[in-house]
Amino acid sequence: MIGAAQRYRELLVDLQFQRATAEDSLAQAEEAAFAAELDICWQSMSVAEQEAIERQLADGSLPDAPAALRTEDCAVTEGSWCAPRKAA
Amino acid sequence: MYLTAHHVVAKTGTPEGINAFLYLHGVPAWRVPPPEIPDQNPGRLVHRNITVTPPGNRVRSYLDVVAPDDAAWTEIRQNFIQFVSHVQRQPLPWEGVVGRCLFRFGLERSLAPQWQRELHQLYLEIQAVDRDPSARHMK
Repeated sequence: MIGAAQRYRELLVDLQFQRATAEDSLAQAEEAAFAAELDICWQSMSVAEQEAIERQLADGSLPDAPAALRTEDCAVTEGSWCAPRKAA
Repeated sequence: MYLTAHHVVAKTGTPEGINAFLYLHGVPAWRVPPPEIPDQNPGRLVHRNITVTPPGNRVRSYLDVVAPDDAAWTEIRQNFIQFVSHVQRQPLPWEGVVGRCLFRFGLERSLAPQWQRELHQLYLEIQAVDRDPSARHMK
Protein backbone atom coordinates (compact mmCIF):
# COMPACT_ATOMS: atom_id res chain seq x y z
CA MET A 1 0.00 0.00 0.00
CA ILE A 2 1.68 3.16 -1.22
CA GLY A 3 1.63 5.98 1.30
CA ALA A 4 0.54 3.77 4.20
CA ALA A 5 2.79 5.54 6.70
CA GLN A 6 1.54 8.97 5.68
CA ARG A 7 -2.06 7.75 5.79
CA TYR A 8 -1.42 6.31 9.26
CA ARG A 9 -0.19 9.71 10.48
CA GLU A 10 -3.19 11.46 8.95
CA LEU A 11 -5.55 9.01 10.63
CA LEU A 12 -3.94 9.69 14.00
CA VAL A 13 -4.42 13.45 13.55
CA ASP A 14 -7.99 12.95 12.37
CA LEU A 15 -8.73 10.66 15.33
CA GLN A 16 -7.37 13.25 17.79
CA PHE A 17 -9.59 15.91 16.24
CA GLN A 18 -12.65 13.67 16.21
CA ARG A 19 -12.08 12.84 19.88
CA ALA A 20 -11.68 16.52 20.73
CA THR A 21 -14.89 17.37 18.86
CA ALA A 22 -16.69 14.62 20.77
CA GLU A 23 -15.10 15.85 24.03
CA ASP A 24 -13.28 12.53 24.45
CA SER A 25 -16.45 10.46 24.12
CA LEU A 26 -16.20 9.33 20.51
CA ALA A 27 -18.72 6.61 19.71
CA GLN A 28 -17.35 3.08 19.95
CA ALA A 29 -18.27 2.38 16.32
CA GLU A 30 -16.24 5.38 15.16
CA GLU A 31 -13.27 4.38 17.31
CA ALA A 32 -13.52 0.88 15.83
CA ALA A 33 -13.58 2.24 12.28
CA PHE A 34 -10.41 4.22 12.94
CA ALA A 35 -8.77 1.21 14.59
CA ALA A 36 -9.57 -0.99 11.59
CA GLU A 37 -8.11 1.46 9.08
CA LEU A 38 -5.06 2.09 11.27
CA ASP A 39 -4.49 -1.65 11.42
CA ILE A 40 -4.68 -1.99 7.63
CA CYS A 41 -2.13 0.80 7.23
CA TRP A 42 0.13 -0.69 9.91
CA GLN A 43 0.17 -4.08 8.22
CA SER A 44 1.02 -2.41 4.90
CA MET A 45 4.04 -0.54 6.24
CA SER A 46 7.63 -1.65 6.09
CA VAL A 47 9.39 -2.47 9.35
CA ALA A 48 11.39 0.75 9.03
CA GLU A 49 8.19 2.77 8.67
CA GLN A 50 6.63 1.06 11.68
CA GLU A 51 9.72 1.76 13.75
CA ALA A 52 9.71 5.42 12.69
CA ILE A 53 6.11 5.81 13.79
CA GLU A 54 6.77 4.00 17.07
CA ARG A 55 9.64 6.40 17.75
CA GLN A 56 7.41 9.34 16.91
CA LEU A 57 4.65 8.14 19.23
CA ALA A 58 7.11 7.48 22.05
CA ASP A 59 8.63 10.94 21.72
CA GLY A 60 6.66 13.09 24.11
CA SER A 61 8.52 16.29 23.28
CA LEU A 62 6.49 19.39 22.47
CA PRO A 63 6.87 21.43 19.30
CA ASP A 64 9.23 24.33 19.85
CA ALA A 65 7.44 27.68 19.91
CA PRO A 66 8.47 31.31 20.42
CA ALA A 67 8.06 32.75 23.91
CA ALA A 68 5.68 35.37 22.52
CA LEU A 69 4.17 36.06 19.10
CA ARG A 70 4.69 39.85 19.41
CA THR A 71 1.42 40.36 17.55
CA GLU A 72 -1.75 42.25 18.44
CA ASP A 73 -5.19 42.46 16.92
CA CYS A 74 -6.68 45.39 15.01
CA ALA A 75 -10.11 46.95 14.90
CA VAL A 76 -11.70 45.91 11.60
CA THR A 77 -15.24 46.54 10.44
CA GLU A 78 -17.30 44.44 8.07
CA GLY A 79 -16.83 45.65 4.50
CA SER A 80 -13.25 46.81 5.10
CA TRP A 81 -10.14 45.38 3.44
CA CYS A 82 -7.86 45.59 6.50
CA ALA A 83 -5.93 42.75 8.10
CA PRO A 84 -7.11 41.74 11.59
CA ARG A 85 -3.70 41.58 13.25
CA LYS A 86 -0.29 43.24 13.05
CA ALA A 87 3.15 43.10 14.61
CA ALA A 88 3.08 44.66 18.07
CA MET B 1 -11.31 33.43 1.08
CA TYR B 2 -9.31 34.08 4.20
CA LEU B 3 -10.45 32.62 7.50
CA THR B 4 -8.58 33.44 10.65
CA ALA B 5 -9.07 32.88 14.37
CA HIS B 6 -7.04 34.55 17.12
CA HIS B 7 -6.78 33.53 20.74
CA VAL B 8 -6.33 36.94 22.33
CA VAL B 9 -5.95 38.42 25.76
CA ALA B 10 -6.49 42.03 26.76
CA LYS B 11 -3.38 43.94 27.82
CA THR B 12 -4.73 44.01 31.37
CA GLY B 13 -4.78 40.17 31.44
CA THR B 14 -8.55 39.82 31.17
CA PRO B 15 -10.74 39.15 29.31
CA GLU B 16 -9.39 36.34 27.14
CA GLY B 17 -11.06 34.56 24.25
CA ILE B 18 -11.13 33.74 20.55
CA ASN B 19 -12.05 36.16 17.77
CA ALA B 20 -12.68 34.88 14.25
CA PHE B 21 -12.92 36.61 10.88
CA LEU B 22 -14.12 35.66 7.40
CA TYR B 23 -12.80 37.57 4.38
CA LEU B 24 -13.85 36.95 0.79
CA HIS B 25 -12.01 37.78 -2.42
CA GLY B 26 -14.64 37.23 -5.09
CA VAL B 27 -12.32 34.71 -6.73
CA PRO B 28 -14.28 31.47 -6.71
CA ALA B 29 -11.47 29.11 -7.68
CA TRP B 30 -7.72 28.79 -8.01
CA ARG B 31 -5.26 25.92 -8.29
CA VAL B 32 -2.81 27.27 -5.73
CA PRO B 33 -3.34 30.09 -3.23
CA PRO B 34 -2.21 33.49 -4.60
CA PRO B 35 0.94 34.56 -2.71
CA GLU B 36 -0.47 38.01 -1.84
CA ILE B 37 -3.26 36.45 0.25
CA PRO B 38 -3.55 37.09 3.14
CA ASP B 39 -0.68 39.45 4.04
CA GLN B 40 -0.92 41.94 1.16
CA ASN B 41 -4.56 41.25 0.35
CA PRO B 42 -6.66 39.87 3.20
CA GLY B 43 -9.86 40.38 1.19
CA ARG B 44 -13.11 42.04 2.20
CA LEU B 45 -14.28 41.31 5.72
CA VAL B 46 -17.79 39.89 5.54
CA HIS B 47 -18.29 38.38 8.98
CA ARG B 48 -16.62 38.26 12.38
CA ASN B 49 -17.26 36.65 15.75
CA ILE B 50 -15.83 38.80 18.52
CA THR B 51 -15.49 37.74 22.15
CA VAL B 52 -12.73 40.20 23.16
CA THR B 53 -13.14 43.58 21.52
CA PRO B 54 -10.12 44.70 19.45
CA PRO B 55 -7.82 46.57 19.06
CA GLY B 56 -4.62 46.11 21.00
CA ASN B 57 -5.18 42.64 22.42
CA ARG B 58 -2.15 40.37 22.55
CA VAL B 59 -2.42 37.40 20.18
CA ARG B 60 -1.50 34.16 21.99
CA SER B 61 -2.26 31.86 19.05
CA TYR B 62 -3.73 32.03 15.57
CA LEU B 63 -4.91 29.81 12.75
CA ASP B 64 -5.09 31.13 9.19
CA VAL B 65 -6.79 29.30 6.32
CA VAL B 66 -6.71 30.60 2.76
CA ALA B 67 -8.97 28.76 0.32
CA PRO B 68 -10.97 29.56 -2.80
CA ASP B 69 -14.35 31.13 -2.12
CA ASP B 70 -16.01 27.99 -3.50
CA ALA B 71 -14.09 25.55 -1.27
CA ALA B 72 -16.25 23.09 0.67
CA TRP B 73 -15.42 22.22 4.27
CA THR B 74 -14.81 18.60 3.31
CA GLU B 75 -11.93 19.79 1.08
CA ILE B 76 -10.59 22.21 3.69
CA ARG B 77 -10.72 19.58 6.43
CA GLN B 78 -9.01 16.91 4.34
CA ASN B 79 -6.20 19.32 3.45
CA PHE B 80 -5.97 20.55 7.04
CA ILE B 81 -5.48 17.02 8.40
CA GLN B 82 -2.76 16.43 5.81
CA PHE B 83 -1.10 19.71 6.74
CA VAL B 84 -1.03 18.92 10.48
CA SER B 85 0.27 15.39 9.92
CA HIS B 86 3.15 16.79 7.86
CA VAL B 87 4.24 19.65 10.12
CA GLN B 88 3.51 18.51 13.66
CA ARG B 89 7.13 17.60 14.48
CA GLN B 90 8.46 20.94 13.27
CA PRO B 91 9.09 24.11 15.30
CA LEU B 92 6.22 26.59 15.32
CA PRO B 93 4.92 28.64 13.57
CA TRP B 94 3.73 26.18 10.94
CA GLU B 95 2.90 27.16 7.39
CA GLY B 96 2.11 25.10 4.35
CA VAL B 97 0.10 24.73 1.18
CA VAL B 98 -1.95 21.58 0.66
CA GLY B 99 -4.06 21.37 -2.47
CA ARG B 100 -5.83 24.68 -2.99
CA CYS B 101 -5.40 25.77 0.65
CA LEU B 102 -2.78 27.63 2.66
CA PHE B 103 -2.58 27.00 6.41
CA ARG B 104 -0.67 28.88 9.11
CA PHE B 105 -0.65 28.14 12.82
CA GLY B 106 1.33 29.86 15.54
CA LEU B 107 1.19 29.95 19.29
CA GLU B 108 3.25 31.19 22.20
CA ARG B 109 5.37 28.74 24.15
CA SER B 110 3.15 28.70 27.22
CA LEU B 111 0.40 27.10 25.12
CA ALA B 112 2.64 24.44 23.56
CA PRO B 113 1.64 21.68 26.04
CA GLN B 114 -1.95 21.92 24.78
CA TRP B 115 -1.22 22.73 21.14
CA GLN B 116 -3.65 20.12 19.84
CA ARG B 117 -6.56 21.45 21.88
CA GLU B 118 -5.64 25.00 20.92
CA LEU B 119 -5.51 24.15 17.22
CA HIS B 120 -8.81 22.32 17.44
CA GLN B 121 -10.54 25.24 19.19
CA LEU B 122 -9.29 27.69 16.56
CA TYR B 123 -10.43 25.37 13.79
CA LEU B 124 -13.93 25.16 15.29
CA GLU B 125 -14.05 28.97 15.48
CA ILE B 126 -13.15 29.49 11.83
CA GLN B 127 -15.80 26.94 10.89
CA ALA B 128 -18.34 28.82 12.99
CA VAL B 129 -17.57 32.21 11.48
CA ASP B 130 -18.23 30.77 8.01
CA ARG B 131 -21.83 30.22 9.06
CA ASP B 132 -23.37 30.00 5.58
CA PRO B 133 -20.83 28.62 3.07
CA SER B 134 -23.44 28.29 0.32
CA ALA B 135 -24.01 32.06 0.38
CA ARG B 136 -20.36 33.12 0.15
CA HIS B 137 -20.75 34.18 -3.48
CA MET B 138 -23.62 36.51 -2.58
CA LYS B 139 -21.80 38.41 0.15
